[in-house]
Amino acid sequence: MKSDQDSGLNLVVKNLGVSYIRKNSNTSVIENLSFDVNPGEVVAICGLSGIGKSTLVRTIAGLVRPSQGEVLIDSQVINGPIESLGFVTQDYSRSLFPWLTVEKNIALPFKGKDISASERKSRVQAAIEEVGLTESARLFPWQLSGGMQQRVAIARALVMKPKFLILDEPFASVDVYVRLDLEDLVSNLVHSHGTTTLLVTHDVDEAIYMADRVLVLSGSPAQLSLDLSVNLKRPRVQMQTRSDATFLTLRDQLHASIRS
Amino acid sequence: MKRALTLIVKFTWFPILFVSLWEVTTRIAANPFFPAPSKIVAATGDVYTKEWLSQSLVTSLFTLFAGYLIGSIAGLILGAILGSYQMLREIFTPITNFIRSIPSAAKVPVIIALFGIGLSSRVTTVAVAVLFPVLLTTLRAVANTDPNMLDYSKLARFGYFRSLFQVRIPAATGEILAGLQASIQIAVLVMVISEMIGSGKGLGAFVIRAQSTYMITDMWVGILTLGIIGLLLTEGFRLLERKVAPWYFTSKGLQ
Repeated sequence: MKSDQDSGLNLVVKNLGVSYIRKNSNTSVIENLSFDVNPGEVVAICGLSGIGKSTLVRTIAGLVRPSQGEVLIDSQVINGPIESLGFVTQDYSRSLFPWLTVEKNIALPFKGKDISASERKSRVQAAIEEVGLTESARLFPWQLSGGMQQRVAIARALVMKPKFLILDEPFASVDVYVRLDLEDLVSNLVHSHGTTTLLVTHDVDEAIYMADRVLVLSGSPAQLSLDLSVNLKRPRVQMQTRSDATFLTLRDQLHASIRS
Repeated sequence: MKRALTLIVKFTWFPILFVSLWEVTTRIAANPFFPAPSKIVAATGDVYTKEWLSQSLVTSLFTLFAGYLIGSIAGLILGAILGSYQMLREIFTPITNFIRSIPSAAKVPVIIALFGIGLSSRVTTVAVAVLFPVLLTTLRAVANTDPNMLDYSKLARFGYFRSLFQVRIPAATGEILAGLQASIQIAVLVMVISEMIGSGKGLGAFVIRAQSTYMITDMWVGILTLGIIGLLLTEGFRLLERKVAPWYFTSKGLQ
């Protein structure tokens, strides 16, 4: 067991290839993809829908087996989900359990883990507070709005104090103002904990606003077509940062790269 | 007060009309095979003797409950195992479908050959009839857990049992309850059939005996008693399932 001190894990993706067997033919989704992510870095992955962004992060999470190459987190080859990983998907309404209250949904990852009851309780409480769900702890997820449900999913991912966090289109199903709030919430949380974060998004503005670096996937099979550093100072402030000249230049670069 | 009255009228006007029409038509027709409902009700006093209650009613209810309980528990367990183990499912699906396709009434001779004529064979008949629909609905629901939930179960590093009990089974609650409810009618039906064949005991045997000895009113008492049992069980189940999984009904906006 590592110390409780916050420190993100590093990620190495080496010559990664992923393919699916469809109707007896092999469809290659990703081929020969390599990149690194440093501890504590927030990296956004952009690209057109269906390009393989989700497949990539599902492979990194250990939910999909690569057909070639490998994924290493903290120098360990990934063969399945590891304990220090947090994962939030777009489909919060289908990944939260309707038979459990908000509180119990968040406490679920503790099942089968060697953590004392009082520790669990205080960590669930802390996670609920961090995402601002104190009032709704005893409610069921289906009694909450979409944005609130996504907060539950975020709290459930954060309660295990992940050192590596994957967010797969986390805000795609909520309206724009909720989205801005959640972007700030997540940004603050991952920075205060130093969590290494991969953010999949098709929204270029969101990628620049949240990330230290943006990767662009394009082509079929998908390959890395751009690796862009975001040199915007933190803390970032929604409307202000978004009208910064650097922001706008990065945005043009990214749009051009995604469309090419 | 006025609202209570409206509610009573709303739910009783049709049954009252129905029974009245039944009473009038049977009186006019004066067919010996269709006694008036008032005569049937009046006959219950003579039919519902202590001996009848213990011989017919209690025997039938025992067959029903024991058979239903054994069959549904076995169906739930097997359904959960087959639903969560693809390999076992592939091995056992053809044989399950084959046995399921043999009508319950046709299975009775085999069961009598195995258990003889008596309570154990009637309970087995009901249990076998209930087993398959429960097994199938459970299997299908457990096998088709939302992939998002299964992903989550993998990310939380749940093992087989934790994934089964914390994710697959609760996620399948709705379908499992529907299967259990549909099996109540099947259990009542098969109980009556098993009693009509051979045994000489229970409500089914009572109805057949009354019919063959031209005790037509007694026969009707038996038939209506069966109807009441079925109705009470179905309604009882509806109340019970809302206690067991209240979240399911409210989350889906079901009544």
